[in-house]
Amino acid sequence: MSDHPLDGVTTHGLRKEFGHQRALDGVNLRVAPGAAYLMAGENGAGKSTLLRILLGLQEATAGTVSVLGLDPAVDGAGVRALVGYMPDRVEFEHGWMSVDAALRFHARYRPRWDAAYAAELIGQLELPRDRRLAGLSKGQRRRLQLVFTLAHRPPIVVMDEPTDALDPRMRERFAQLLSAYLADTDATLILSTHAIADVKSIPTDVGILRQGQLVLQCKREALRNRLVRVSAEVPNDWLPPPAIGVRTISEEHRGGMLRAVLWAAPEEACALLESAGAATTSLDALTLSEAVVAMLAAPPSWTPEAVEVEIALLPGGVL
Amino acid sequence: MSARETMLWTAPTFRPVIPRVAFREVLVAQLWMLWDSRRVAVLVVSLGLAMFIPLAPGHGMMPFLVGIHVTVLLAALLWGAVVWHAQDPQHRMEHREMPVDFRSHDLARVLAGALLFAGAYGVIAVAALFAPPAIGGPPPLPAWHLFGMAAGLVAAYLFGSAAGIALRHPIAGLSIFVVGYILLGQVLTAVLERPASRFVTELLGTWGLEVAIVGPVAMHTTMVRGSPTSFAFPAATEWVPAVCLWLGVSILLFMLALAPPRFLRRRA
Repeated sequence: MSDHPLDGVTTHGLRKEFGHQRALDGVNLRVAPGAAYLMAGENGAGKSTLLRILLGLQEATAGTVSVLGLDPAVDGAGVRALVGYMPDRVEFEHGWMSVDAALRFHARYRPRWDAAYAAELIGQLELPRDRRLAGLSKGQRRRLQLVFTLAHRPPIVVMDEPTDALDPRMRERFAQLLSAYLADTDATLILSTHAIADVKSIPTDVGILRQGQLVLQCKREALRNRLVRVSAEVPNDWLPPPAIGVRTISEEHRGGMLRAVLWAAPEEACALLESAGAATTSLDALTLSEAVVAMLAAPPSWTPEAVEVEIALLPGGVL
Repeated sequence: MSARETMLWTAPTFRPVIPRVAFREVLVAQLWMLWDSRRVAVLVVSLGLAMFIPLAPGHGMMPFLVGIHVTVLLAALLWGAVVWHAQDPQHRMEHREMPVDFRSHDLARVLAGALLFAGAYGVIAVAALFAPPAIGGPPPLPAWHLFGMAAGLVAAYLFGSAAGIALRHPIAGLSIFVVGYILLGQVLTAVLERPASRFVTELLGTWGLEVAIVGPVAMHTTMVRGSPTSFAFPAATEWVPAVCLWLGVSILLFMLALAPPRFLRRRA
């Protein structure tokens, strides 16, 4: 066990290979205690694999993992005792159990099971206590998984596509309950989801996983401050200067109008465009969902570090 | 636990106190789960059927537990696999995600199944103990043979458990093993000529599965004019090697299923 008093969830040089296929490639995850970390990425980017390694459910090929100071490869049971895990699948293996029986079953494994809180969640999520698990709809199973995840009051919550199969009303309820739990307990959350809009108010940190590599990891505010969508009027034969080119994540240049997403602070983007002869017409911060989509659509080699290196190599420094 | 306690527990300056579950609790949970799943019906039906076997012609001359032994062995084999019903290795994530070491959790399930089996068998054994002895019936079962029978039951249950833990279709796997063993015996007996027949005799005879199964309960019957006049159990030396070998094989297979070495592990 590490002696560092501020252990959250960290990985260093984490690699996972399935035969010749590399699912994770040198992932250095940093999740501070109390953070709500949104893990975004396309299908097959390695998100679920990463979460399962954090839980000790899969072995890493190389690299180190620490969850509250514990190594899941050594003490997986200890990690799972501290983590509330909501997997991406919605099937239950004990389909004959009633909801009540399943709650009792899980409570036996969790010394800190909070029966009153579980009952409250069951009520809030409108779950039928006497129905068998096999008879529950997909959405109801998802909601029950949320109860299993939170009712033992874990200091770390790990969720993999948690709003999948939930209807819009329940998605809202889910976000409310999760937010309340985090506010109430100061627990750490690692959340992997494609439905970012459902949880838009929750994340404090964002990580973008692309083809097994963590290409971006920052505070949500940092992302908001460094990513900007600009519209500008430009001459017909306008070509972006290198200082803008290296910062461009996506661009659409049509008939004297430039629409682009830049990796730059708003004032910096404005100054760069003005100096390049473009007249800025609008400058917007991206929503979390838009920012993630923009990052996922970036060229394969794009990373903030690569941008910083290219900027440093430009003649005259930043500009 | 109050929200405040959770905050203190999770505050950065506090080391996490890991809320570990005791093995006893896991065992109770698994016992209760097996009971609630009504898989116990398989146990009740198979052992219930075994109870009727002594009523068949000829079986009245044997001690009750001897008469039902082979059927009970099959029940133990089946039960070992049934304990893992609907949770083959590809559908065991919920089991794996619990806050218990994988091996301990699997072992808890196997122990829970064994306790239920022992309970059911115990009821039968106690009933047999109190049944009135038949006049002119079989000799009492020597205690040493009880050990042999118990070893056979343990081996059968461990075989079934190993199949249940490691195989996607354990019943099919066990059936293939039994049929394969019989076929191998037939082929070896038919193909191999002397001096290899000694090898066949040893492999299928002294150390064979059949001897391990029926050895402790086989009875030598002395017949006079077509009627049995005396009964005797075989000497322990006739079946102990086979029972020990197959008990060892079952323990080895069970250990491999429970904690497979890296080269046997599925791609995780």
